[in-house]
Amino acid sequence: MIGALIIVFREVIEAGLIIGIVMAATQTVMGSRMWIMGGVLAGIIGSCILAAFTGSLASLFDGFGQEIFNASILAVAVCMLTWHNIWMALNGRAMAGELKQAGIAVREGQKSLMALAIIVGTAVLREGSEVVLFLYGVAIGGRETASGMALGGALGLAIGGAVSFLTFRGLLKIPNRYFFSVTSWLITFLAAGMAAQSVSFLEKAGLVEVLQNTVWDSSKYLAESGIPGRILHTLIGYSDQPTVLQFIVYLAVLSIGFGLTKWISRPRLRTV
Amino acid sequence: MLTRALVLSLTLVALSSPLRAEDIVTYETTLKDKAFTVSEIKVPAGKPFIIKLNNANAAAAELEAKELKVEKAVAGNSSIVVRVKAMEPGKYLFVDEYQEDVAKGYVIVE
Repeated sequence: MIGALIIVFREVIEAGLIIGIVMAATQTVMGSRMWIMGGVLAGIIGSCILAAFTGSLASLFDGFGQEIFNASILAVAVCMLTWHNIWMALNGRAMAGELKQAGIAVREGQKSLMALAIIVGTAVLREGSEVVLFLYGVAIGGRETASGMALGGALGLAIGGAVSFLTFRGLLKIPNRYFFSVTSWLITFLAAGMAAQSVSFLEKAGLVEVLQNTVWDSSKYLAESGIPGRILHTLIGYSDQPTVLQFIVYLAVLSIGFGLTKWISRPRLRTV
Repeated sequence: MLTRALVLSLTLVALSSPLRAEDIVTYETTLKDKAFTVSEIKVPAGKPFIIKLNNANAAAAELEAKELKVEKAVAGNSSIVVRVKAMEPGKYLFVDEYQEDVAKGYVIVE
């Protein structure tokens, strides 16, 4: 049972953290809950469909269909996250401050919320299909402890959900003054980490063969495969053996994200 | 926008480069019930290689080898391939993550 719990929890935690951050970041945007829930739901349905087609997906692109699929949806999520950050830099402050603008903000905001629903949906999709495959394997039997494993799986899901909720509540405790900056930093780091991960999938598929030297190896101190490593991997894109290319892409997305947000929200001269 | 352009061009460059899987040696093993038919895979050091896993069970499995950076799901009664980068000599564990206490094997790099 514990084994099943850990397997499912490990898959769920990444999506859980992302959902928590996105929920907190869009707290002030009206209608954001609906979109996020929609994203989660679409992700779950997508996971079931993806799980059913795992075999055929795997056989695409000389056997590297899964990697290319993962790299692509991560790239989509990176674009959506960056776009959301820019949108929040343009509108976020005004929205939080002035109620009269709320109507306009909501109308404009739908586009940004759509982007967030896609981010949440892809996060659930990436991790979810493996959970579905695993639980399906348990359900069709062949293993003695099926009921214990099903229970473990359910608990893993529940704990993953709790992580998502705690992330959300924890972020809301941040004082208003810093809230906007903290959530946009978090989103920039998420995007950079996902971009590096997307590169790593392209490398695994053998599609990218440049700059493949390892920058550092910290696997002995903080393994990426353990739970703390995995959390850091999701939050800031921690990798225990990054390649030069992953590192460059990571830094590039990070500086583009910070640079753009800073540039947009720079103080402007105003004529009164 | 810049990010989008960057990612898009990266992806395009990546997709246009030819797959070179044929230059690489593939080592095959099969997961049947709770064991790998080939539980010791010997590979030369310093060369990338491919592991092909056939899953002969009805249930899905997930090939995991932490040190080899391999983590990939395989549906029931189907196969997957994974690329592994050039490794230093050593003995590296691989498992079916869904039954990792029993379904074990090693890649021996020498």
